[in-house]
This record gives sequence, C-alpha cells and structure tokens, in this order.
Amino acid sequence: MSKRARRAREATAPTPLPNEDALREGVELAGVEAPQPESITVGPTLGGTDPGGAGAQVTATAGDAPLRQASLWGDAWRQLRRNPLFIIPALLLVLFTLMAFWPSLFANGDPRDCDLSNSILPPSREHLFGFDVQGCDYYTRVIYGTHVSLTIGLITVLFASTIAITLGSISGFYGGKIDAVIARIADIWFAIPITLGAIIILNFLGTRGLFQVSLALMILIWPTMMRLMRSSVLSVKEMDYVAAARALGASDFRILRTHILPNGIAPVIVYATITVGIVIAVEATLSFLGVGLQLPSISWGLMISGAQARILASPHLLFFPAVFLVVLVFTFILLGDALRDALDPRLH
Amino acid sequence: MGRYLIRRLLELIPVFFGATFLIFAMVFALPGDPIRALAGEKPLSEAVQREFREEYNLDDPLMVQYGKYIGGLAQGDFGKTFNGEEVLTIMKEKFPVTARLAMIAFIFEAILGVFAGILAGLRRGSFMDNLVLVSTITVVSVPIFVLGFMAQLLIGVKWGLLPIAGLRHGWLSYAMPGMVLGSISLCYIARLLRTSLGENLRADYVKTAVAKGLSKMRVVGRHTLRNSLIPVVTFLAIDLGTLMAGAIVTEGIFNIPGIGREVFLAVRAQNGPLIVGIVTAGVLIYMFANLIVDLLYAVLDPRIRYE
Amino acid sequence: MALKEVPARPAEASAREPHRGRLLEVENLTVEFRTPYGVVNAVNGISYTLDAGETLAILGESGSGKSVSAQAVMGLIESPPGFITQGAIRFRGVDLLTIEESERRSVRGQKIAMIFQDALTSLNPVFSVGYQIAEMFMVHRDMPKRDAKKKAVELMERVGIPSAAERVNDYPHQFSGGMRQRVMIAMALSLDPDILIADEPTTALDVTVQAQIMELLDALQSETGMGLILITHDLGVVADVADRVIVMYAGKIVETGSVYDVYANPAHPYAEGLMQSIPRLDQKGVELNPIKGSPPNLMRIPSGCPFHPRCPYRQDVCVTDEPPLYEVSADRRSACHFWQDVLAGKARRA
Repeated sequence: MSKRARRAREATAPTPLPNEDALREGVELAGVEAPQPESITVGPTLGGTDPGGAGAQVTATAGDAPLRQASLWGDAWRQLRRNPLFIIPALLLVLFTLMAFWPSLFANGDPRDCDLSNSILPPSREHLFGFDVQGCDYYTRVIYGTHVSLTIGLITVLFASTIAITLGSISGFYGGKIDAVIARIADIWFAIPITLGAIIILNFLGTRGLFQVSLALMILIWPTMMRLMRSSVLSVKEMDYVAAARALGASDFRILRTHILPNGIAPVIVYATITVGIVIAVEATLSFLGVGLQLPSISWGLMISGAQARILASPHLLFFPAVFLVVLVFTFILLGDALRDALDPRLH
Repeated sequence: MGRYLIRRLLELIPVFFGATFLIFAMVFALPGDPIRALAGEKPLSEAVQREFREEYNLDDPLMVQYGKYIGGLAQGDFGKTFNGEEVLTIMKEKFPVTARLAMIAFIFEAILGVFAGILAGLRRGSFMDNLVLVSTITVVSVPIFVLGFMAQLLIGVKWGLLPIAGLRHGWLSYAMPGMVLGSISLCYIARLLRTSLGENLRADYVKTAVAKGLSKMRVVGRHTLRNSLIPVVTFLAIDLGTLMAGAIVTEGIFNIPGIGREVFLAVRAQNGPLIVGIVTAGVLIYMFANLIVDLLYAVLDPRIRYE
Repeated sequence: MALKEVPARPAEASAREPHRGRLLEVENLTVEFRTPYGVVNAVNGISYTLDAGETLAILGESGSGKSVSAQAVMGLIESPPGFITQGAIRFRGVDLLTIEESERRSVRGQKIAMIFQDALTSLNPVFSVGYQIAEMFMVHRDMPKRDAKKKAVELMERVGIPSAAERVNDYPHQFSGGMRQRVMIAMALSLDPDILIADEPTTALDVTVQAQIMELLDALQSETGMGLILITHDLGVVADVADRVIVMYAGKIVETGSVYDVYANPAHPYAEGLMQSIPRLDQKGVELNPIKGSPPNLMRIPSGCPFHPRCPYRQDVCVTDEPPLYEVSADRRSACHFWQDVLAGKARRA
C-alpha cells in the first residue's frame, strides 16, 4: 500500500467507541474535524488507529520548521483572544475554579448545616435553589459540589495525559518492539467500555473516594490519548527539520524535547481539554449509579441520584445540579473546540 | 486482503486474553468474600462453603482459575452464577432486549445523524450548519442520565408522548430509551459527516466531476457522498457493536431488563461469574465489530482492498 | 527544468492544422476573490482568442492568474468567494457567462474539457478508471453501462494505456502517475471536445514522462483539430507543442506572441526574466538570472506597471502609468513602456 493510500485510509479510520461511554465520544469530537492522521499504524480500528485526527490535523502541516512552533501557538493565541467561543468558556472556567476552591466566596453557609424541617422546600427568595431531602440549603451544596467535579476532572486528565504523552512519544519515536507492546497494552484497555470498566475497577478497589475514582478513570482514558500522541509524533518525526537536527548530531532526547513534543503535543492538548469535561460527566454518572463517590461527599452526581425518586414533586432537586454539571462539561468541550480551531493551521 | 485480515485477527488475540484476564482478576481478587455476600444473613455451614469454593475453583491460584474458565469458554460454557444459574441462559434471555434497544438507537442515530451531517456539511457556515454544530456540542455536554431524565420529564410526563419506562408497551417502550441512547452517537455522526463532506467537497476530484459537466446532484450525491460516507459507515459498524454490548445507564434509568442492567446488578451483588461472562461476551462483540469494520473498509475503499 | 533547444520556426507549426474558425474569445475577463482578509484580484482584464487546431500556452508563476482564468472558462470558480466581475467568455460566439447553468453544463465536459495537475487527487479514488471514463457516455449520451465501458476501453487504448481491457476496472491508485494522467486525458477527450484545457498537466510527473504526455497531447490535438490551452509555469515543457504563448503577471497579460519569438527574444522584462531563469542548451556558459524580488501580493498590486518593483528597466513612468499592450509586431504585444529596450536587451542593470 502506498504511503498516500495508507494516509487516506488512516484519514477515515474510526475509533471504537462504546456508546454509553461519554469518554470516547469525546475522542471523536476532539478529532472530528480532522481525520487526517499521517501515522503509519497497524490497522483501521483496533491496532492503534489514530483516534481523533485532531493530532494529525495540527501536526501534518504544523511543522515545516522549528520556528513554526512559536508561531503555531502564537497564532493560536492571537486567534483565541478574538474568539467569543473561547472567551466565554474561559471566563466560565475561571468562575468554576473560584467556586471549586473558594466556595465561601459564593455561599456563606455550611453545606452540611442542615435542618430536617426544611426538607425539600422549593426555591425561595432567600434560598434560591431551595432545600434538599436532608433540609440542607441546596444552593450551598451545589456550589460546594463544584470542587469534586473539577478536581477529579483535572487530576485524572493531568495524570492520564502525562502517561499518554510519555508512552506515546516513546512508542512513536522508537517504533518496533516497544511500540508493539505499548500498542497491545493500550488495545486491551481500549476493549473495556469506560463505564463498565470503571464500575469494576471501583468495585475492586473497595473504597471510593476522590482518589480512587480518579485512578479508575485515568486507567481507562490514557490509551486514547496515547494513540493520539503516537500518531502525532509519527507525523512530526518525518518532518525535514527533525532529519536536519538528527544530521547535526542531536540526541534522541533533545530531538524529542525540542522538536517533536512542541509540535506534536497540540492535538493531545485539544483532546485532553475535551476529556476533562467528559471525565466530569462520567464521574457524575458513576456517583449517580451509586458506584462512584459516596455520601457524605458533596457531588452533583449524588445530588441528581437523590433527586431521582422525587423528580416530579421536586424537580428543582434535579434541575440545579444538572445545570451546573452540564455547563461545566460544556465549558471544557467548547474550550477544546476553540483550541482545535485555533491550532489548525489549515484554517488560518 | 486476506493477509491483512489474518494479521488483524492475530492482533485481536492478545486483546481478548488481556481484557478478559484483567476483568477476571479484578472480579475474583475482590477483597470481599463472595460467599458471605451471597449468603447474606444466614451463616453457611463449613461443608456447604467448601463445596461452593470447590465448584467455583475459588481456592485455586488466579491463573489456574482463569485457565479453567477459558477452557470452559472454549466449549461454549460461560459457567454458572453464584446462584447456580447458567450464565449463558441469563445472557440469552437478556440479549434480545438489549438488541431491540440497540436497533432503535441505531436507526435513530444513523438516519438523523446522516441527515444533519449532510445539511451542515453541504453549506458550511449556513444557519443550518451552525445550528447542527451548536446543538451537537450541547447534547454531547449533557450526561446521558441527565438526558434520560429530561426526556422522561418532557416527552413522557409533560407531553405524554411516549411510555416513560419499563417494557409494557412493546416496541413503543424502546422509543424513548433508544433515542436517548443514540443521541450522543447521532451528534458524532453528524459532525463526522459534516467534516468529511466538507473535506471531500474541496477535493480535486470534485472539481473534475464538475468539469465533466455532471449535475450538482451527481457531483454531490454520487462522487462526494460516496467518499464521505466511508468513515460514517465504519463508525456505525463499531457503534452497533457497542450498543449490542449493553447500555448500563440507559437500561438502568428506563428500567429495561437487558444485558447492561444485568451486569450492573451483578456488580452490585458481587456475582463474579456473571460479571465475567457478560464482559467476555462484550469483548467478543467488540472484536467482531472491529473485524467487520476492517472488512467494510476493504469493501468501501479500493485503496485498502488492493493492499 | 527541461533542457530544450529553441523550438522550430512557427511557420511549420501553424501550417500543421488548417484553421476551422474561432472557438474561444475571452474578453476583458476579471476575476476577484472576496476573502475575510481583503479582495484578491486574481485576473485583471485579460483578453485572448483560441482557434481550432491552435495550441496556446499560458505562462506564468503561481499567482499570476493563469489557472484562475482557465477555471473561469470552465466555470469552476466557486462563488463565493470567487466572482467574475467583468468581461465575456465567448465559446463559438455564445457568452458562457450569460447563459443558464444547465446550458453551461452541456458545454462543460462535452465542448470544453479540462485536465488537472495531479491526476491522483483529480480522479475519484473509489471508482474504477473505466467507470469514470464511461460516466461521460452514460450521463451525456445516455449510453448503457456496458457500451460505455467498451468506449472507455477504446479511449484508454487511444491514449496509450497498455492492456486497457484488463485495466479498465482498476482504480486510480493502481496506476503510475503518467498512466493516471493518460486516464484523465482519455476522460477529457471522451466526447470529442472542441477545446481542451490542460492545467499544468505534467508538473507532477517525472521529466521523461512529461515529454511523453506532451507528445500525446500534441498527437491527439493534430488528430482531432481541437484547440488546446496549455497552462504552465515552465515554457520549456510546452515550447515544442505550443503555437502561441501568453505571459501573465499579476493577473494581466504582459506579453503575447508566437512561441518562437517570445522564447528567442522576449519583449517584456518579466518574460525575459523567465527565459533567463531557464537553463538552455543553446546558451552554454551564460549565467542564469533569476528574477529578483517576489511575486506581487494580489491584494495590493503595485501601482503603474505591476512588475515595476522587480524590473531592471524601470523608470519613473513605470510607477505611475500602467502600460497598455503595445503592438510590437502584427501578432505580438508587450505591456512594457520600454519594450524596444527589452527587445534590444538594454537592461539598465545596477
């Protein structure tokens, strides 16, 4: 198969994508604009296909010279600054971050200070979101719930992308046996649906705190990012300036660090941003199912779960945490979308 | 072509063993004692416990347990649950329900997704295009359990259009859960087709088709769409496999007794053999879907057929 | 790129095919692209004609408007962003810009056909080459599929594809670059068009294959008597085949004349620069002189003569006054105030 044909095939290669696994839906969205990986991978689906093409889309044209690095990110920033679809989610993110780490700025009550006599009172002027079953002020609880969602989302993706970038670079750069081993390990985890896998891992871990939920999700999401990084490295590796650096006697590490990473990392960052949103959604789903965080943790998923039985009588119990959850997820997906557009040189 | 498929098949073997072993290990190395969980309040006699441990090989080392399990699997034996039922029997009972739900979701996402994708992709930047972009991003941001509740509340309770939950209304019962289940893939298909159509419309061969004096209908419908649908069709194949493997959240919310709800209940009941059985079946379906995709590629894209 | 000798005198070349009337008249054609960054003036009022049996080469750098003008003739300009703001394109006397799209379509492909630079991307990857050729007969001649396939095989044989009958069901990626371009040619010629436009038909090919494709085009043209427009950035490739040449710069025609004259003694500094940047067998030892500076920004075309910032003959008048197309001789024009100096080779080089 000619290189061009292979590229063409890669361009249309889909990713396996368990339907309920919001996580992998995110993969698709991340790459959906750019199915043009240049990677030389094993096969269209299982064997290490590029999951999103965001990667290649950026890298394919991104690196004609090392100088381009600076301008790729510089151009991206200049474009983002003017894009309302970036500014709005960026401001929302600032707001959510404040809420997560300084909730007292927004709510002066104590989320655990509850009075059963207030149980499921509807929203009122003093208590905008009403009260939950335990008689806790719902507004305060919803605000305090931000912490868990945002922390799990950020920690999980931070660690998963670190693993993914490391393994993906090694895999793509060295190829051969290491590549095959890493690819197969990723394939194995890929074959396990996220929700089901997370349930089983959490069941196995026994305790289900913030750390365990993050760990379970991290284990399940790194393979996709690893594949993305790998294909991205593969395409950057072929660039002339990498050959030039090699000819000048640069070490592998130096080539990776100064040439391949800066140019190859853009798609992973786009994807990681979207994944934060999706991890947040999955965390809420797990808590909702009763297999994630447990009371007395304050989590939107748990709140929605508690609202389930009273959905008709007290819709506010569902409404407020659901809106916060959706807006937070939306924030990250929009951010990722804006980033991808900004980092795509074809659109400049 | 033949060699290509064989290589893909070979690559799937470690995936199968790796994935099933991982699940097996996590399920059977549980810190809790499955027997105690099963027995509940009533303490079991020593003899019964021993018999039980014997039957489920619980005293063997993990690798041996797994080996025995795979041995049984090779003969079509998925083992017995801790309640003594055949895992295969349970799966045979639950699978048709999941399959029906999957069909509805599949038809819904395929038809609407392709339709929306064409509308958006043909006229980039138009009102329809922006509408599709915004609505797909929004829907994807809504976790499926929230989406389920919203559908129940609006379509079911407020407008009274469709049954809310359960299976008492025949095929109609599957309508709402099917739509909820298919909604995210629908968004993905729409965006995938939009992108792919957009890229193909800019391709040189489209210019050639116009230069040949072909009608717009033919240029788009035959030349462009034929190419643009390749990723969509292969995505649909993979997605169908995923749908068939069961939908935990959707089946849970809508109270549909399929494979997804069954495996969820099995995890909660710590019913190891049932969990492993269902996950193994899921991995098999996943692998099968992958092979189908490889075949589809070869059928749809001549550049792959003649490797 | 190609090492060529000065082509044969045009007298022999044009005697090859008797004229059968005027096929194409392009008059004051102006094309602009309206982009978010500004208006790109791609073609700025060009006029030329093409007769039956004639081969016209349109020469220029990328961005000179040569491809855009050809696409305008074919009706391939996407609008928006492209707009034909002025001019007429008359095919056998009928202005193609004023007729209905359905009529236009009956001209496209059947009367005026076009082939492109990269045959791999220009052929649809998922259809067999046979189908893509046969489609012309199926769509435009209502021919049943089987007969159309037969026609496709005949055409493939005619353009020199070996064992055409066996290869008719192969896909584009299974052919070599040269063979793919032959497929494109077969497709373009299927309905005996009056005009064939070849947009850089050999640029993507190896030098040896380039010559074969040019020979094929030349032979087919003499055989059918069609008008042939060759768009190229490399006069060397087309010099043997073309009768007349139009040199374009910044969307304008800067020189036109017989290939022999322009090649041997250009009357415009830009054409002269192009000739001097081609290695020539007949001028051994002469230094190559690339044109200085870079092609103009089509959003801000220089005042006066658009070539003045790069021109070795520049004088003050060039900055202010746009030169008309001066008549150099009966069949020759140059848009240079100092064409006489250029002909005489009196460059005022620093």
